Amino acid sequence: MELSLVIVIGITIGSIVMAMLNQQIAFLRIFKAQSFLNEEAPVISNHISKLLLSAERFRLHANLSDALSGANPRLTDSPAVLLNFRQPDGTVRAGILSFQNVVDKDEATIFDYTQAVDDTKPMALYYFVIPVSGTLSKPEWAVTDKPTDIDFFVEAGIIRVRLTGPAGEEIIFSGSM
Amino acid sequence: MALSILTIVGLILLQLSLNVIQPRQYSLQQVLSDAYLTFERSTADRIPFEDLIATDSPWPAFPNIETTPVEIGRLPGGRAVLGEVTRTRFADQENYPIDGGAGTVATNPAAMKIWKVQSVLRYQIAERTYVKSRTFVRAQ
Repeated sequence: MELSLVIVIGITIGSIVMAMLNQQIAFLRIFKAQSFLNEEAPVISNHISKLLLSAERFRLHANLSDALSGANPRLTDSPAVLLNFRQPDGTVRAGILSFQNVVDKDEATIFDYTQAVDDTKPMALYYFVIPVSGTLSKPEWAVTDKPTDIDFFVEAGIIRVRLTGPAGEEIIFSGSM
Repeated sequence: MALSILTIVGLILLQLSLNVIQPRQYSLQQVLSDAYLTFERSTADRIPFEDLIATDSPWPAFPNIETTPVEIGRLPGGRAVLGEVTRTRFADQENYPIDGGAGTVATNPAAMKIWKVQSVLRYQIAERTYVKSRTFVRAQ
C-alpha cells in the first residue's frame, strides 16, 4: 500500500516537472519567434528609412555590380538599390543597399563584388558608399543578417522595402522622395 | 505538500511567461502597423496636389470617406495581418468657399489651399480592434 502510494506520488511529481519543462521550452520557442519583429525590425527600419528618406533619387538593380555600373535598371522586386544623395556643395554622391552574400570580415583585400553570386554563403544586407574614385571597397555597414529575404520595389512611385523574417514574418517600410 | 508546491510553482512560471510574451505580441502589431503607415505618409507626401483635390482623389473631402482593405504585414508563422485604411481630407477653414473653407480675400490674401489629409488604419487581432491614424498637411 505504502509502496504504491510512493510510486503514484513519484510519477505525479515526475509528470509535473516534465510539464513545466515542456512549458519552458514552448515559452522559449515563442519568445524566439517574436524576436525578429520585436528586436531586429525596428533597428533595421531606423537605418533604412533614414537612408530612403534623405535620398534624392533611387534605382533598382538585380545585384551589386549592376547597381554600381548602372546596367539593367529594373522596376520589379530587387535585392539592390542605388541611392543618390546631394551634398552641401551641390555634388551628388551615391550609396548602395544590397542584400547579398556575406562579406568575409577577415578579407584584407578590397571586397570583390562579383562574389555576390556565391550561393554557399549566407545572406546579409550591406550598405556601400561609392567612393569618388568609383571603385567599390568594403561595405560601410552590415545592417542585418537576420532576414531570409529583402526586396526593394516601387509602388505608385514610392520606394518600399519588404523584409521577410526567419519565421515567415513580413514587414514593409516605405520612403518618399 | 510537495505536490501542491510544485503545482503552484508551475502555475506561477506559466503566468510569468505569459506576462513576458503578451506585451511582446502587442508590440509586434505596433511595429507592423507603424511600418504600414509610413506608406500612407509617403503617398500623401508624393501625390500631386491636383490629384489630391480631384473628384477621384484617394482622400475624398470629408464627410466622404474611402475605405480600402490592406494587408499590413505578416506575423511569425506567416499569418497575414489584415486591416482596412480609411482616408479622407479636411479643408482648412481659411480656404476659399470653393475649396471647402470660409475664407475671404481679407483672411487669405495669398489664396492658399490647405488640406489636412488623414489616414486611419483599423486592424483586428483576436477579437480586438486597433485603430491608428496619421494626419498630414498639404498646401498650395
